[in-house]
Amino acid sequence: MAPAVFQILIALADQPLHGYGIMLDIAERSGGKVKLSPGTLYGSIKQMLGDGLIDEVPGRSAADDERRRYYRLTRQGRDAARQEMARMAALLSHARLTSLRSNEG
Amino acid sequence: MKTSERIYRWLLRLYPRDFRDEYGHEMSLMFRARAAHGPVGLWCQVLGDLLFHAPREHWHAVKQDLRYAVRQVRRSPGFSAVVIATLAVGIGGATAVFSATHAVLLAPLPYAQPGQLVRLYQQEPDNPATRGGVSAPHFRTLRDEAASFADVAARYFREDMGLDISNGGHPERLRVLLVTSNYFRTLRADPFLGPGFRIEDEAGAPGDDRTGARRIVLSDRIWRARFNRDPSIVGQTIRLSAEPYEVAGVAPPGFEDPVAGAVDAWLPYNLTRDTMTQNYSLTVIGRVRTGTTITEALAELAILGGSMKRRWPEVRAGSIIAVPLQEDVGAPSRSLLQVLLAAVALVLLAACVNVANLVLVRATGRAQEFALRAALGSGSGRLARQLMVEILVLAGFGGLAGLAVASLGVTALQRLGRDALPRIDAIDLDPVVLVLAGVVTVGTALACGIIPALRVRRRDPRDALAQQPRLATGTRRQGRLRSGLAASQLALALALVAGAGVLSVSFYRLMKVDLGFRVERVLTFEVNLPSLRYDAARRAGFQEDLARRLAAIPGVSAAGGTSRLPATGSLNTWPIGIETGPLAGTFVKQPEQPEHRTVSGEFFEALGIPLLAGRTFDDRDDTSAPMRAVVSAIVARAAFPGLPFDRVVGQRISVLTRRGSREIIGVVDDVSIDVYGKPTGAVYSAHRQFAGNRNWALTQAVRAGAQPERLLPDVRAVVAGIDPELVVYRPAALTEVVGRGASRERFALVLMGTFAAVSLILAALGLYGVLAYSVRERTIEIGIRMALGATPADIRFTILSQAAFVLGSGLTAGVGGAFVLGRWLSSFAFGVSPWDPLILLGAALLLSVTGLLAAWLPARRAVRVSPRIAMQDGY
Repeated sequence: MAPAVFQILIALADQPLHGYGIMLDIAERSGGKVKLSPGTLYGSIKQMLGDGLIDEVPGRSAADDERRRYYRLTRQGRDAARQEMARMAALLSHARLTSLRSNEG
Repeated sequence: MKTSERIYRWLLRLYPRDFRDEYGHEMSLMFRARAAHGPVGLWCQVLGDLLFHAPREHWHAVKQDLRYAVRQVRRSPGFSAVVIATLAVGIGGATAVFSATHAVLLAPLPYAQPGQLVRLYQQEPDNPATRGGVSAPHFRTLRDEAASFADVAARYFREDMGLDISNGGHPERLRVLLVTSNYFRTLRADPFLGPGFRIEDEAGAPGDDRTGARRIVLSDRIWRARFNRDPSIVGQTIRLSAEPYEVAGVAPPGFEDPVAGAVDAWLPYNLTRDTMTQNYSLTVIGRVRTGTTITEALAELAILGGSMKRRWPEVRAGSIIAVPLQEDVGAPSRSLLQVLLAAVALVLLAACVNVANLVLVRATGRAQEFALRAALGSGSGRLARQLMVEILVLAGFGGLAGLAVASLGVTALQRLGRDALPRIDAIDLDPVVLVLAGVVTVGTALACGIIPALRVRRRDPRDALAQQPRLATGTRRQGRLRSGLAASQLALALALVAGAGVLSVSFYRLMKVDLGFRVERVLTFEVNLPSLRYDAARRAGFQEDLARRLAAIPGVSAAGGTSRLPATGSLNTWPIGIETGPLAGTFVKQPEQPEHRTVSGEFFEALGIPLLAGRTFDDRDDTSAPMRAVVSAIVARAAFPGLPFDRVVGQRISVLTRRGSREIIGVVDDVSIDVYGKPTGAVYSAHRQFAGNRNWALTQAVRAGAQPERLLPDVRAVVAGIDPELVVYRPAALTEVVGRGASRERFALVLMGTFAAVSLILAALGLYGVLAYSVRERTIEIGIRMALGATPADIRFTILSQAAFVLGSGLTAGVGGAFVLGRWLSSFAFGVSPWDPLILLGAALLLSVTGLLAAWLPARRAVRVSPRIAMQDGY
């Protein structure tokens, strides 16, 4: 799974967000280190929509400005994120068993 | 909106339209939000982002189209196969023929500065059509005095000399040319090993009775195959035909004679011994000096010609002309290639039309699908791109298949055209032509395919969807366009079929031409006698012994040799002096100037040349007897007009000099000089009397009762029985040898026939497509008519009359095409007009029958329409 896709899945895990919201969320979580470019962001969104990981939230209130579209995780997206999380956790625990953990070497 | 945002919006156009429509708005909102945070570095990021992601999105879109297109191709294998095959034939055929044309006519000759090379001819000033070889004295003058030429070289005109080589493998006959010492320098192809020839080589060795001295330049091929690329071979003595030769050099790899083609070895021509001013025995090539134009060279040649005319006033062909070598080499095949180019262009056109028609039919048939997709929000640009990708996928397969057809075609052209085209081994697939032919065909297909797709845009999707499937397809205008395309295919096919007809009739007439001798059931071959072991007396004895022993083979009725077989072109033509009779003291010159032949054994009987008076040669005519000659009817009439042939016998003529005085002992019928049945006078001499003149390479002719090829083992046994070291060289049936003279015609016929067949198939497919489509389109109409009482005959009549209309208009246009093509064919038409009305009629008939057959299937389907089902399907 591409890092950007995982980032977007994480951003959408607890609430639906629009594209800019996703970008801000990711930037905030990473302390401003990760800023998805519009191309990466919308390219990934298009691909994730195609793969069924996310979908559009229907009927968002018109009060929200500027016809923004909101996205949320699908069940499939949630599963994929969990799997990725487990994979990374496993990877991390393997890494912790090595000398990488200590600061020496 | 700020300017920067406007710029960003504009830049977003780099993305595919779908993507832009979907996300462009939000992306610019995002841009606005980020710009508010501070523009520092923003533009760098934005541009980098665009450059990376925009192409990626495009690729995603195309990938999707490709997948869809391949699925479509597989879903309709019949349609795809026909399109691919049509493209393959059109692109492949055109590429092969254009490649051949390029290699033969357009590609520069493979020598340094080829534009400077010219071929020089002697010409009779009052007869500009004559182009003859150059005599040795004229050549020497040209070489020494023509200042506009950096070099003038010559080679002896005969290209069929040979030497046998037997080291390093099985014995093989080498093809040898006799050349002047500056031959390689003139062509800027100095031997890459060894010094090559020196001017002294042109003098020949003292006491040498052959034309050439004994230094030799080997071809790179022979040096590799026979001498294992041994560089120390230069200066060594090798044996060829049992005689010693000193290797003077090895020619550069791939070097060929510009006129004779591939050669195995070169010997120096004994120029100093050749002093005859009317023996035009040299093929001369000049290299114009750098900075001098051909026009300037021609002006100088005119002046030089004048001074040579004063010096040798007896020479009729006193003018010297120069023709650019490239033009000269290509000239004989120009008309052939023009015909083929015209024909293949028509095939390409027919292929274009066919693909266009198929794609058009298909696109129209999918109008509903497009309407549906348009209703679901696909832009017309998107649909057009989808269609384009589909056509390009087909074109890709078609192009690959075309490449295969082209390379097969080139191989076939090389095999078929071996005797018909020069430089044929240099044919290479021309990638430019391949691409060009592909672009033309695919371009046509795209144009025809996209029109209907774009139409969708102008239609309200609701209309398209509301219409029922069987009615939803095509408009009247598209129907007319399709019929027009089918008609133009028929027109093209008519032109090509008529052309093939003209060539077939011509070829048939050519094969039936009376050549003056019987071609069937004769085996021919050559035996070359090494001069070292065979002196004149032994050569004379050998030839007669051979003829006698061959004639003794069971089934053989006669055998004999000749210095050149009839109908295979000119060999030696000289004027003859008339010594007796009413015209005594005059000469027989052009146009009656005869050919001269040296014959052995029972040559006339072996070839079936009728004896008209007197006798042919026999054992009485040997070196101890006075010189004798047999003449043909044309010579007898020209030299002794009014005299009956039996009184021509006993008259005297002379050849070249007074020493050549001969008594005529017989008159035979004339034979043709070529395959076109052009009777030419001939003077025959007995080999027995002329064996000392030179080591004649006689071609043996053996008349058999049955298939001549079966004689070969017996013939080999006879030759080996006389001398086991001799080689039976180039054995072939006489029909095949003579047939080579018609190779140009055969080549044209085979190709034109192929093109005609292809265009016929394409036309039939085209007509079938249009009608089948029309029937499907009109199923409901037909159903209603049948429900209202129309008989199957009525329905069939409707469909067939539509076919007849398309056929009629196609054939009418085709007559015009046939007339245009006929102009190119006129140089091939033999005994028939290129516009022969019967052939045209026959071609039209063939097309009509094919067309009606193609129409029959759709008509039958129409008749079988069940009114009930048609209506059910319809509503």
